[in-house]
Amino acid sequence: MSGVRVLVGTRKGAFVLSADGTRERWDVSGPHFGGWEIYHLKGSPVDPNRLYASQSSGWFGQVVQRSSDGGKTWEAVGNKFTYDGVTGTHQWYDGTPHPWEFARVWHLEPSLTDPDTVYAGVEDAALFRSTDGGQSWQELPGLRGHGSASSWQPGAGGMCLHTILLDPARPGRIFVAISAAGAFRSDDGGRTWRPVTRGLRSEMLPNPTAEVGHCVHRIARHPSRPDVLFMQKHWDVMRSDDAGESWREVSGNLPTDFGFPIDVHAHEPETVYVVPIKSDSEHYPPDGRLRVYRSRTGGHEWEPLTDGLPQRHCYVNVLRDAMAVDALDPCGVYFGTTGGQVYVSADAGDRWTAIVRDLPSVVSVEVQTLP
Amino acid sequence: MIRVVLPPHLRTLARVDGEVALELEGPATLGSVLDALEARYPVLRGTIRDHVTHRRRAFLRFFACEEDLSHEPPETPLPPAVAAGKEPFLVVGAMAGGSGASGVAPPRGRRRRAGLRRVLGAVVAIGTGLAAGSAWAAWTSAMRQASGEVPPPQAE
Repeated sequence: MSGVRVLVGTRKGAFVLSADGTRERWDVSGPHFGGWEIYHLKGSPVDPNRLYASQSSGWFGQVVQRSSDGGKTWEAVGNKFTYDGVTGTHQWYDGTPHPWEFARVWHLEPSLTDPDTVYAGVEDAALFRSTDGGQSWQELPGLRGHGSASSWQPGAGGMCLHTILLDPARPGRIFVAISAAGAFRSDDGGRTWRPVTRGLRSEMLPNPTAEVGHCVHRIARHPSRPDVLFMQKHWDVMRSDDAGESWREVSGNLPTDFGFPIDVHAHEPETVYVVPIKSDSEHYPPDGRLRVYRSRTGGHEWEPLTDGLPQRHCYVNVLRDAMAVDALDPCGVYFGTTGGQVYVSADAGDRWTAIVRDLPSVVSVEVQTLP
Repeated sequence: MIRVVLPPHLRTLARVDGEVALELEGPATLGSVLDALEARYPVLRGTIRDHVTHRRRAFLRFFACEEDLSHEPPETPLPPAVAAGKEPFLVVGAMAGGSGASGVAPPRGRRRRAGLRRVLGAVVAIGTGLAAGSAWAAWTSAMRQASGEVPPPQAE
């Protein structure tokens, strides 16, 4: 029977949650790298035993860990992230120029075809790539060299490149999202980039429809339709049907215009999940009720999913990288909270149960579907 | 032979127990001991000082024989007792708790605790002028002020 492996990054270490295809009984392994912030772990789609993890600390900086046995053992690989060429400046929170400074790796995206190739989205925002299994890292400088880069500003969590989407149909096409610079697309393997933000509207910007400056929280898509993108933005859920050339709002009846994660059902490209959060500064579920919202129509019409989720006195957050889906049938949906719970629904969101309830604050959740 | 005491997280990362013993070629200086440490344990590169500039990470300090060497240039000679292996060279992480910071636990063992107490006293005195034994909050504040840097907010 096939199974799943859930890779959980927390503020105090990594955890690996494993189950067979029923997704009822779970084996919990960890903490790995206890005491360190694990921003993200992800497995290679072509070699599920090859995992990469971003391990970071305000004291000791960045470490990248690699596993070749599905997370049983790990080895530290390269952690030298040096910006290419002149570092330059971006804008600080107050609008003054601020030099680009590497802080940490937010997101690791293994190649769709080569287990030794992996992309890293970092803070301050830049895209790096390794082609030797993480031993060495080279910046793809065209992104940071975009003419708008000196005007990029950090969001509340830092100026992080948090989303990397590799196109399975067009090998040279890459999407990235940066808080709070926006969304960018490359069609030449990361050499050149352009903003893909037409249609985005952010009322708090001096120019609400500016080309850059939107606080994009997450972009997701179904691999069978790489041109159809769904975005959770700071203000509104958006959809693009033309690979980001244009966007339209599909927030519909969602109870808030804010949230972090967004994901797409593994077998239904029009079924989308979000977790509405109250903002601007509260960042917890409205009314103390933790609800995942599901749209089966690609947006606009959303239904709350509450069975098994706390519906009173719940004030956790669900961060941008903390939701994932498996490829089983029915599709499993997973998310982790800042309160340390990791929830699973083995029936596409109808019913939820906590795999674990008392982990450190969850930063990221990824799922591997194993043969 | 130079004895080096690392913070617990770096010992775990380097997969070592207890002190590290390093053989140096040439004079025992602040820079040469760090070079030798990184050569012996490449995984520590970037975790104590910057890969390129070799600038000390803001929340780490260097001590030897109760001397704060954190702000000294790399060619600074280590005290004779450290160069002779009688006293250890200490790489110390700031103590901190709360506000989302991932604290560094004190080293285990009577000897290291004694060493750390001396270091804490020295750093608090340097950082704020307060006497050793002040509250942890004052210590944390002192380290943050002394370092000139506070860990970035994890505000999401």
